[in-house]
Amino acid sequence: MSEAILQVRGGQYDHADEIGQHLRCDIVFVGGRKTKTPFHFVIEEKCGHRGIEKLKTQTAISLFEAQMKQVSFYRARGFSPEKLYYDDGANVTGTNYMLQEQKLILKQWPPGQHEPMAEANTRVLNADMRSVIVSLPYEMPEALIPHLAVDVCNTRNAMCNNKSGMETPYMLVEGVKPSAHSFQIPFGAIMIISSYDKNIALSLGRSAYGIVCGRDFAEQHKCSVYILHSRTVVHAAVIEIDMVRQSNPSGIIQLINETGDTDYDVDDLVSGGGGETNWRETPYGDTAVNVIRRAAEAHMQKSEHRKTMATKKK
Amino acid sequence: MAPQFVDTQGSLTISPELILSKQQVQRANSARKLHECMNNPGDVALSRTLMRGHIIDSAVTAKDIIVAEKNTRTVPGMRSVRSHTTS
Repeated sequence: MSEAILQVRGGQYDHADEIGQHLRCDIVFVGGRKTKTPFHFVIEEKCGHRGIEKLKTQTAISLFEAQMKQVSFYRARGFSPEKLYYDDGANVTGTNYMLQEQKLILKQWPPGQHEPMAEANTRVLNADMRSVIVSLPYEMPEALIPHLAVDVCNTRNAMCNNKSGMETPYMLVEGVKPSAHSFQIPFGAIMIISSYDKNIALSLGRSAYGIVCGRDFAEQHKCSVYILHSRTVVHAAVIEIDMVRQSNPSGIIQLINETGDTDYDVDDLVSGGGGETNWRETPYGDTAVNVIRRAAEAHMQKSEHRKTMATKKK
Repeated sequence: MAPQFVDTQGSLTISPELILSKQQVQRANSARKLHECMNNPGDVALSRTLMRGHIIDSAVTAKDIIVAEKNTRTVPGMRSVRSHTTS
């Protein structure tokens, strides 16, 4: 057996006895090819409850802010978090003393190792997001990717998993069950909603097209809707009748496909800290057209370099 | 007697419209709709969730999921996407 395995796996495993006791955390990057937003991704060890929170920056202060939001979430529901598990990282280590003041223990894996539960659930998150995106009848705008990550986590919480058994994480943590009304409208459904935006109201009347980008389990018929014209997200009351059901491809689907920025890879929507997308080397992706484009750019650069060298010699 | 046909592998199959009642087909369709609205989870996880009544006011049961899985069309490519995920 190798030394690394003995170092990591040796000793007695300290597993959580109660909900919220151990939180498995990681910083994940969610987004398209060019821009990925950092998120604080938390998995509860006992029942597998997921929480995802956007990070302002990757500094220790904003990370501590996100940590305390999650800890407060569990404390408000009567649970007492004790330990937070992370990968190795300087910004995480920077929160150690602040967490000690809150009577929380920070546990970090040694360098070169990742937090296994958080990593596994990151891959599940990516697969879930992919399955939603490929089942949509249009190309989802890139701006909706972070909303999709949050919605996928919330929906997963409402499902039984191997850790929670015959209960759902949502039921175990919140103590209530979500209503079926929350699941009548799928993510990505195109809706006609009443808009309170003055510009839209003047130009289009009081209704506008929007895409559902989040369901609210706490309030019935409440959804987050991404308005296509103003590109803003509003929290609106929508019902199933408001859904646009048109044959594919309809005018609104063509409009979304034309206006939406879709520079993302469905297999690389979520990446961990270690496996970040190296998009600088492949700025256009690996399609055949882009390979030719890159080769042409390199040729142009070489020819310009030769010209400048030739003028210098003269 | 209901019309039957033999598929290419030699097994006897009956069209689902002929062996299921109208209500069963409707319930299976609503089960598929719920499956889509819950971001395409595994059938086992969804059945387990419905079996314990974790979704209030839902008319769909675990049996409808099984009927829908066996007798209604699934989204092409969805199985391969979901095959490597757990729970």
